[in-house]
Amino acid sequence: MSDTTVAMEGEKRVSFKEKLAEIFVYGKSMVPALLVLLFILVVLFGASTPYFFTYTNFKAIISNIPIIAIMAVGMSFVILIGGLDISVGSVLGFTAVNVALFHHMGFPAWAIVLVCLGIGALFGSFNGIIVTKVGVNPVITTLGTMALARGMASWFALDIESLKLGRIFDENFLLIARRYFPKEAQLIPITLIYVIVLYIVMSLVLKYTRYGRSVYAVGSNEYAARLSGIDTSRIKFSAYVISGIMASLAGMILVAQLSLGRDDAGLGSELEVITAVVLGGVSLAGGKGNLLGVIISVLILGVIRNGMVHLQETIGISYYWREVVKGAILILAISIDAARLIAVKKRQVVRQ
Amino acid sequence: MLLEFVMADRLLEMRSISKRFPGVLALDGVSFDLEEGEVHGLLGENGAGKSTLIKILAGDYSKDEGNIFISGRQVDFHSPSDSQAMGISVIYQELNTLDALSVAENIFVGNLPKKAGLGTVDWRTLNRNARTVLDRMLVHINPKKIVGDLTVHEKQIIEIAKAIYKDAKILVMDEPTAALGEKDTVSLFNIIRSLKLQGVGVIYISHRLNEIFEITDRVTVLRDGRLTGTEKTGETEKGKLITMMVGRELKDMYPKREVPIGKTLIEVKGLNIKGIVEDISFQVRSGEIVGLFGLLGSGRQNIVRALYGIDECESGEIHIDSKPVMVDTPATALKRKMGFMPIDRKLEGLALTMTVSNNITMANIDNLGSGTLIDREFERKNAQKWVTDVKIKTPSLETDVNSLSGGNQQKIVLAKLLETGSRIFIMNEPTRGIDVGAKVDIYQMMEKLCENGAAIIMISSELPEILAMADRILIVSKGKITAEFGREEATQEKLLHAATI
Amino acid sequence: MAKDQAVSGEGGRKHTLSSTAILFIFLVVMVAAFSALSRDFYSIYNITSMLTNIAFSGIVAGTLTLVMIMGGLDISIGGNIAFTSCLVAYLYNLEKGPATGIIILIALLLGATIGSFNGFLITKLDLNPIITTLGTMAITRGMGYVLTKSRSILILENVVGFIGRGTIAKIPFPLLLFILSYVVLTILMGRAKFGRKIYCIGANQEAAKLSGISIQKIKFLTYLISGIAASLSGLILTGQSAVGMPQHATGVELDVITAVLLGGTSLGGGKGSVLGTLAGVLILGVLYNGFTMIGFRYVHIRVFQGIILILVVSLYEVREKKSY
Repeated sequence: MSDTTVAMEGEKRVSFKEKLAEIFVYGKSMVPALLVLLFILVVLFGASTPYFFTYTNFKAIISNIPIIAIMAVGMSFVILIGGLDISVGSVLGFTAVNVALFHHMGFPAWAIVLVCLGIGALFGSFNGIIVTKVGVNPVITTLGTMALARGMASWFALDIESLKLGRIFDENFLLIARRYFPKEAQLIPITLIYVIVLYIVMSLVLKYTRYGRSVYAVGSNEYAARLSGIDTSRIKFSAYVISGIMASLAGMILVAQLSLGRDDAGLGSELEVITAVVLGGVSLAGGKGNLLGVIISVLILGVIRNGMVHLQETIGISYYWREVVKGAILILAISIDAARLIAVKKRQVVRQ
Repeated sequence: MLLEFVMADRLLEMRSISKRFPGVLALDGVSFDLEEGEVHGLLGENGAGKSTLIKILAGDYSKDEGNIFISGRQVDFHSPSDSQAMGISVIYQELNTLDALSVAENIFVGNLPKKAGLGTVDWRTLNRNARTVLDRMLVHINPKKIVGDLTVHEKQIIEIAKAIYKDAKILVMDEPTAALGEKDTVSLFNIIRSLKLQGVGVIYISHRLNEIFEITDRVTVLRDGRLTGTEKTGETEKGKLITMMVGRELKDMYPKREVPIGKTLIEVKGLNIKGIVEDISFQVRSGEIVGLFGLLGSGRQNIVRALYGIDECESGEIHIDSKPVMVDTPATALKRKMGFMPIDRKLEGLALTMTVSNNITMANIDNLGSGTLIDREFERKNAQKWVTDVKIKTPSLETDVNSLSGGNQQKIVLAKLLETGSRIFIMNEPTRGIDVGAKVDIYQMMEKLCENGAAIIMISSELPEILAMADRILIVSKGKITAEFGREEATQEKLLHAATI
Repeated sequence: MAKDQAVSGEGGRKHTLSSTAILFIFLVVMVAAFSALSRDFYSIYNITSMLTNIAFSGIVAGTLTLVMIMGGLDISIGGNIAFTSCLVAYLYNLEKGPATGIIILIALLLGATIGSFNGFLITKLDLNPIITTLGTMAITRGMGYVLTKSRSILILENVVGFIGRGTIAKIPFPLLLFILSYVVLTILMGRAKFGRKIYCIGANQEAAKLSGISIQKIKFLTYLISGIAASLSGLILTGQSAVGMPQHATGVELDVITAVLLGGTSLGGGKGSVLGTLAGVLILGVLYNGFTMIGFRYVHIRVFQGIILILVVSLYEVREKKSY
């Protein structure tokens, strides 16, 4: 008697190719594939230049990562619930300008931090309300917020510019991003620690709290989640708030790193953040993926960015190919994501 | 006195439920009751009112008249959560699982146990509780497995487990075995029996009569929105139930069907979809209507979708007018003058926000004028012709299809096919969800088409319809064509019997 | 009747006709208001230069309407414009470079290539249009940076300049292109078979597919058209500014999408009209120009852009819900 399950079993023999595809494309996690990719990249770039494996270079790679990494956490939440937030770069920029502004007004460091988080929460809430309560498409909504935030950033910056005070001098504030551990050896920057702690905490939240599981539930099947009593609006709203706060957090750290709060901070960073998240295995369809893949992807993108600088010096490939590479990787990432989705769908064909 | 008191504590009692929709009376004073620990089957053809009754019980629809009592208390549902709170759980055919999460999470979704202190999810307790629930059902599934990886039956079990966890006293199962094989059906029945022992009442909706006889204690039959009768399963037999389901004597509803049958118009040879349907071969001649009858999950949908080029097939040939043709897309099919009436007109057949005229011409846009532009006058004339011929009731050609009744919407889908000059028609449940008047119109259209030499392949789950309209009926069961009946020899009993083997 | 159909877009309800009319009325009111508020507004010079500015992004807004009615999106137009302008400037400044006519052809070909690239990814690989065109935007703008090494390239008077700044019978050439493109697009969507198919796909893709409409072909063509229109706009912009630089058209996506949404096209759903987009483009153009005349600066206008977008979309959304 033929069962429906026959439809899903197929042939018993599984070829090696299929096994590879199983792990790298159809598999639960992108992590193995990403680790391999990272390894290959490190080897390639390392071979192209002796300067790659130096401590200075390591610091260079690490210094750029935190901003993207932090925003990627927020973006992961949003994409997990099935949405999108392209305003993160602009919120970052607006935050940066406000840091300069409040610094100019004489606020102490801790107050500036609070204000920044407030800004992030505000924009995130705004996005959240428009998407959940009014029901506007997330892309359009965050497109509008993106313009709003960037516009306001430039607007405020006009005033600051005229006072020539984009610079930050408050030691306490700068230390947010400039400490190293251990103090004497100056080995590990504090920003790296921020990222590691953030990822660990957020991963735990996603995996071990009811809230985190609800996020996956909403992304997996919003209708069923709602039927089961989950307040889907609240969950979705919270994701956008988290994204906003992450963006402003990143903005704060960027300013502390550069001691400069410019209105073009974070311009175009949405692309890299989305790339990192999707490449990391968080499916655009929602409900799938975890932060481990995301942090590896952030690393991969950082290594590529760094590697390309070296390539310019050694082989002469123009550094300006960086944007092109970013776009190509994004398209590659979503292609893989789409392929995985199709593979899953194919397995669920049923007799009707 | 005592008797009344005992009677009042029936688990579920629905008294004289009526429900009206625009243009149709879906339920007319239907009464239904359920005892604790009873499996009560609900039988009836499509459109008989079964799903409306269940949706009212589930809190999805509101009733217009009648009362519902749960364990003697009168209740009023305003939403699905009201119904769930009263211990009612419905397991629909299209399961509502959260595929990205684990088994345990699905069972306890929204109510994951917390660890004291941190408030994080207590995975150990969660998995343990899940195991307990599953044990109660005598099934072994690893609670940590991701639901997306489970089989259909396993997902079903999870949904049942979810209901049990919610302390469901009334469990409704809608065509649960439609996608199951023998082994899984046996497993399901064991679960149902263990639920019975625990006092849960089960409402079991199915077309499969032998299952009704195997698992139910009583069975209620609905027909045309009315209660035909309730029988004790042990005291009745298949024939009686079938008569109760279909005993309509509206012979005048169907046309005479005296059409001369010509040459073979379309022939299908060896259609194969791996794991789904096997070696499907049949032919349809000009002027002939061939019916495909079978239960849910028999594979009929897959067959016609492959025929029309919507889904792929591994192998198989199609010959039209004795010439082999390749149908790989709906566009190719239409070019070969084969048209398709989908099973869900709102999702697949019509653009609800567009006008009557635009919908009718949707499949024939390229022929609405000789150049790149559409000839408005020509389009209007064509659309008007079909509106008249197919008797579509609409205020105007520019009305949005959304505002028309189901019957008229279905006629528009038919008109769309006629506009393309189709000679071969695949009709997928052509009269589903439409009123009697429109049904008659559609039957008459089908007759007219046959008179003009068309060949029609009709999927229908409505026995009187398929018996009256089809010249030949093919029984599809578990992916194969298992029997064929000519018009003269076919009876409802024979069809149902053959389909439920 | 013809105007009715074109405006209501074949798939629209009665209220779409009246909303477009409302938009045009609003436009007139705005023009009047700004004329009153600023001396310089209602002058031939200002009006023509305003319209010419509108022309550049207006053409792309028109083609984007097609994409959005169908349920897609094309964010890559900005990058396309930038890359086109860089390529044109680069080729023009080559010692033994191709003739100007060839350069223009190459530009349009580039647009076609980019459009095809988008179309291929979105139809054949079935990728999400938003993210895909985001990626294409990065790739094209990035190519612009690579080509110019991040510097601007000047172009002297030539045919390209004519495209940007020339006039025929006192009407600026870009404006003529603008008017021409809207005439073509209105006819295309209102009366052509291709346009009807786009509406069908947007209204119900599955039904369109079962009706034999080649979803892939139509979608591909739509993105192709969008790509070509973007490079045409790139030519105009290069001619107007006499420079090819990779920073061109930054943020144009926002303008264009706002204009289309303002005009009543919703993201997918087969509803919308080119005429509505025209109204949207004009309203936004007048708004920005007017604000500038009054004294607002670019950064303020950016903020308004964001607010307007969200406001407009929210209002339409609320109205949709009410009509249920």
